[in-house]
Amino acid sequence: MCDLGGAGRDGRIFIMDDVKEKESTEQFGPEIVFENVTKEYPNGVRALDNVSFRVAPGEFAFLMGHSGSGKSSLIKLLMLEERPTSGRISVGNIDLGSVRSSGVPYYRRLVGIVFQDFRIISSMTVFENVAFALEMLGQSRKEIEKQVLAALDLVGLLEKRNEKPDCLSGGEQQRVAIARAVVNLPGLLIADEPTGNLDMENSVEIMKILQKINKMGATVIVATHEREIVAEIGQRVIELNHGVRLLGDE
Amino acid sequence: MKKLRVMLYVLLQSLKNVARNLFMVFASVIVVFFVLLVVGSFIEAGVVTSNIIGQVKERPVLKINFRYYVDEETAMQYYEAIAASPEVKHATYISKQQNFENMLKEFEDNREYFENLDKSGKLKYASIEVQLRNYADGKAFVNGIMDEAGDVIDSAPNIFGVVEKMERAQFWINICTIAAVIVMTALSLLLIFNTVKLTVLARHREIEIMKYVGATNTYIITPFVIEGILTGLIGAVAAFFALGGIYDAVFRLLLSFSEDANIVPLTFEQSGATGILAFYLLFGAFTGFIASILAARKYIKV
Repeated sequence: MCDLGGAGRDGRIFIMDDVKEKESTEQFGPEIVFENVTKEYPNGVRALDNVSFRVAPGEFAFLMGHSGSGKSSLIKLLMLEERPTSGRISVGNIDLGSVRSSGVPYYRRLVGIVFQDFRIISSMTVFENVAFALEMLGQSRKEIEKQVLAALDLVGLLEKRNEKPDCLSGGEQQRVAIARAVVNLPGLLIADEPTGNLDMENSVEIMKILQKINKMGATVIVATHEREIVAEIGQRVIELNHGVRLLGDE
Repeated sequence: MKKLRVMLYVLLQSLKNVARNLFMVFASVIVVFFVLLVVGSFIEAGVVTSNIIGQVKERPVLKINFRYYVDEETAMQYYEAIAASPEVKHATYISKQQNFENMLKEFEDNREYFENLDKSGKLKYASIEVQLRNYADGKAFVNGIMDEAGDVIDSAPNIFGVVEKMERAQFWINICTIAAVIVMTALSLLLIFNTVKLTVLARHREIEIMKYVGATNTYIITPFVIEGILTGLIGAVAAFFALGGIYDAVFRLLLSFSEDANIVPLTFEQSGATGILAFYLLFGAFTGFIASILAARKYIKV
């Protein structure tokens, strides 16, 4: 099992007993470090070119850039879907280059991810969609129920736990995806264009939830190209352009 | 405890897979069923042929029937000559009346009809049951008898010639069995592979999410493998019972011929049903396992 050294207790951002509106003052999220990272695909496309940055433990950072700027490649590297061509990436005290294929699932249990297209299962209820992430860990029914209800409470969907996703609005479906991403109590939450399919009102709502999770101690990285959202939230920005980092003060 | 819960969850997912994909699973089960039925039929044909050949070789017996007009005295003379032959180990004379009684016993329901028919006397004939010392002498012995006494002998079924043909047939049965196992195994693999492939494609979103939330490869693949194994096993069990039913029907048919040939065929149990069941279950589980693991590894891309 991988250990997120910078992530504190169990590598988790919070203990579910503390979840209900109790914002942590401690930073349990891991530090993220990119050092001269280059990613070149076999077809010759260079998605990232010598990118370096650092995200502090428990920080909230936007990853900005237009389509093709390298945001998705950067997230794939963080999720260990891809490996860098050169350079070093670390999450907490884990050097991602040292994580073997067999260790990837265990690493991913310490990272929550949210996508633009929600990726929730339409045949399952809201509760089942969130519980899904815990069932494979062999947790007891009681533990699963406790954690799922806490996660749904966090995103404001407790009342809709028995609904099917088709009955939910886009914003609500994205909140289900966030609940699933955090139900396993990860230290790092990555959101890839989480508001891409939502209107402004829902987008702001989603961002508030992500900020709430960040305030509980998680390191949060949000990839987006929506400048209005970034301006509204007002957090640190790491900007990419054609695979090169433009700005992003530390 | 956690591992047990994970195993139960995986098993439940496998059963859900089967339920969701019932039509394709059913199609695969049908293929495995027919595949094993064909293979099983060849195997049983081989076992029965081998048994009959073995029985005839071990106890070479034939029945010589005289023509109805041959009187008992003449028949007895032939009996004495045959019994004295060096090839003969043992001979039994069966009188006309005894033969007729046996026939009446066999056709008990139509006893009256045969008794009336017997007024012509054509239904009463004497017989000799001969057991030879060596199976190898059988064919020449029957031919010799027919050459010397063909005018008084109505029939002497040449089981030895039949056995020779059966031995040749057995070779081809074995070839066909091997060919059937190869072709049918490939067919089963292809169908189960396709079923699992469709399940994987239908559940690609779920699989993708599983990967992102940290499911291990084993955890993702296992339900598909169990689905494949279940498909194979269900087809195997169904094929076993069907083969048993068909065998029993053929067994009854063979019994009706066996009296003349003095060959008692095997019941399904005697013909190695336990071995067949073990083979079926192994075949079903193995093809299900291989096909599903190949499909899962190819399409899940874990």
